[in-house]
Amino acid sequence: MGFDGCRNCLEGGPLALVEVENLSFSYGPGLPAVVRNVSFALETGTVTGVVGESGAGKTTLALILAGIIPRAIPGELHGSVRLGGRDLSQVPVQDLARRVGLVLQNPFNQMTGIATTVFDEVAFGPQNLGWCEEVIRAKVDQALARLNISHLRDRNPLELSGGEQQRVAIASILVMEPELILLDEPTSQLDPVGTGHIFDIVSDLKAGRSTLVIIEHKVERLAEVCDRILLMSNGQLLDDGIPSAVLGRADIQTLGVRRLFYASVADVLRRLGYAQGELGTYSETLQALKEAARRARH
Amino acid sequence: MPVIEIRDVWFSYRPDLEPALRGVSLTFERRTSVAVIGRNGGGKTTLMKHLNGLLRPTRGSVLLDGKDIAGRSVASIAHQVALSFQNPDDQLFSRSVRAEVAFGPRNLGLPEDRIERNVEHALGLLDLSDVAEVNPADLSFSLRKRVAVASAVAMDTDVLVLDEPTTGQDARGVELLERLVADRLAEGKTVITVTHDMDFVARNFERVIVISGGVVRADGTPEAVFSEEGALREAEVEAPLPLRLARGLGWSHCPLTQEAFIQQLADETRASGA
Amino acid sequence: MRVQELYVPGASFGHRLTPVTKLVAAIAALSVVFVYPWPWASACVLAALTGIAFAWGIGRKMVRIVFLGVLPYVLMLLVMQSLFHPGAGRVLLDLRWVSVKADGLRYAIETSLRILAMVAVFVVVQLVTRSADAMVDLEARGLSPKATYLVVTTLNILPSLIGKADAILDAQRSRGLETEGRLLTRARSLLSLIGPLVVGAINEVQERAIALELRGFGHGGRRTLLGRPQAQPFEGKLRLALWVLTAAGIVWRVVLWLL
Repeated sequence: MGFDGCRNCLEGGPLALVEVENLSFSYGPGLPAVVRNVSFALETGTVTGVVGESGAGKTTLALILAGIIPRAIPGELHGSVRLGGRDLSQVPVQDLARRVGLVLQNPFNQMTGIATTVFDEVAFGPQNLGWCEEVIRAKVDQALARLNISHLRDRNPLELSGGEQQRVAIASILVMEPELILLDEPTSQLDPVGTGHIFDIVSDLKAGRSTLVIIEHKVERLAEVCDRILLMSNGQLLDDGIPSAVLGRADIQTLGVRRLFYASVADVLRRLGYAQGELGTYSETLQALKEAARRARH
Repeated sequence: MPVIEIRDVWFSYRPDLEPALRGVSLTFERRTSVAVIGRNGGGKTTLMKHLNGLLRPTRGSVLLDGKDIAGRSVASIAHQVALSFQNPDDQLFSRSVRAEVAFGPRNLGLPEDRIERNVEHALGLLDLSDVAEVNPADLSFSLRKRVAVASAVAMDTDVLVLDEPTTGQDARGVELLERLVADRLAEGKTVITVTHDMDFVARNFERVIVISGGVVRADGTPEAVFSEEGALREAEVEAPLPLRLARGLGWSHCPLTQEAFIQQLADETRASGA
Repeated sequence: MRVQELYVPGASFGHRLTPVTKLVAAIAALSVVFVYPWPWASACVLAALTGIAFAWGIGRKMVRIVFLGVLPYVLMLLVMQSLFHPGAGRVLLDLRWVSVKADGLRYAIETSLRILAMVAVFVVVQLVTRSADAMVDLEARGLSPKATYLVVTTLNILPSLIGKADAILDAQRSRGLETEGRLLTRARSLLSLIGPLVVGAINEVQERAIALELRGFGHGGRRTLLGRPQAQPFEGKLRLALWVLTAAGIVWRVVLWLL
């Protein structure tokens, strides 16, 4: 693609490999640790879901991965976070937005407050990155199309509904093409169709080899799209594995997370005598049930 | 007599805008649980705000216990209809959870001993007793939301309206809300909830109203409403997962909840094996 | 639905001026109001602004905000000032001391007119200027992104707070808060309205600051500007004339003071 003479516009593909080691954080000396000794690694091009009760430390973890903690929010941070082999604290602050994108929960507070159109709102990030005008215009339109909000291009972002704002917020981060994308409850304000759209976008991004981390409560949706699930409780990482395993845990309800319906179906099939493996998606479950029905008839 | 009656209500936010509600007529009885579903922007919250007088119909009327609420202040209607909003931070301001929950009943002028009883009951229902003396601003979003709901519950009104109580809630929060609905029904109250969580709807509500484009598209039991595919599509709403799965399998009787599905699966498989 | 800013779309002369020119005009107008040693300057500025507002198609809105919105408070201020102005103590005794009363009253009127004129200046500028345009224009002239953001959001704070206040009012009224009726009742309801407003405003600012960080804002480096408003050819001369007007006032004041 020819955008010659524009050295600020990076064209490279994503290359993130996230390594977190013994991460702990508390907001101040003497205050209880909100994140306690968390370690995990994420491969490029994977989608990881993070689940856990309210207050388990999920959002704090996201803020650390985005570099907001400890730069903008002070506290006691121990352990290390490496992005693409490089320590996150060594990444110059100007580059951070280009490498890690974070979309927080409350969409209204993520609007800049000075953009009068959705276009300007989404263009804000690339402007700060110093991209040239043609590239900005093209990428912003692309991002709007991706989130199905092209029709909102000239609307005032502060007058949109919560769900529309959430999509604008996501577009505003996606447009900067970060290597690591963190989404904190991106569908909380959305109705089921809106939720479906977001998870479709997540699938697209996955196909494009972006690395994603999604904090969510909707376990069936997560199971469809995630390669891995991190289960947090009380600041600690309790489990780390494939969706059907982690979300199918017998004790998960006590940890503030709904148990994956497909796992319950798998349980029943096993109880009825079928040798049933893990079930993590709608289609797998449908398949398994049809199979069981067929076998039962013979 | 129905506790609330909405008669041919039309409403526009501004005269030059499309009406947000178009000729909506509904009645709500006592001791019922009603879920209002539909895509965002379809009129659900606008309708809820008519139930306690925050918005007044451009045309048509709203009756409470058979009497028109026109001319009554929102504060006076609050004695009978409590409305809890989506964003808890629009209302929390007290120094402690207890004070916050007591705010509503105190405004209603209830006697002290009744306030105390209502507050304790609400705190217990929403599992907030442990944090009763904590400043709500120091709590997580999910807990703040529970405080906001508790505050409406403590008003002990005939009608409790909850606008999206499950958004942003973890599993425990949803469990507590289910317990809450059951508790209010047992007390003979009417609970009306706007929600996107279809499993929550299927498990707890005897009546489902589908609204989109300012019009009621469907109104009936969950079984009936979730079968009306046209209305659901129009309102951009999906049937609960167990139901969809059952339909995918071609089952004749379709279970609404996960528990019912599991039960039926066990029964059917044993039956066909026999 | 939240209101972000006072801007009213239009194509009047005022709308077509670049934001910087309007800011310079605002400074000139303020200098006439505060610096010019001429007692009825404020009244003239106020009258002129009202006329200009109508010419630019924003007259009704400007009158509503300045005269119906702000005026009552200014009148209260006027009453208090004329009562407490030194020498006004004698007013209460005897109507014969009319001259003393006139002095205190005149001072109070002058101050009130100054305040009204100042508010009118800000309101008129905001009604014809998009904050996004203002930001771009200021930045293009070298003001740092952080400083321009501060200027623009400070101007926008009031409408945004009003929008938030509505949502809070709805929530508290639904909890039985009586907002109509006796003044005392309304005064008591203030805390439950101000509390969430202040906390909410602070939270909003904090979260927004994080959101801006996440969009790479405020860390130096060249910031691409899109769609810079085009200055019309006469604007440079207009601005010069306005600066001269401002300077003249200051010089006049200084000269008077020296004499």
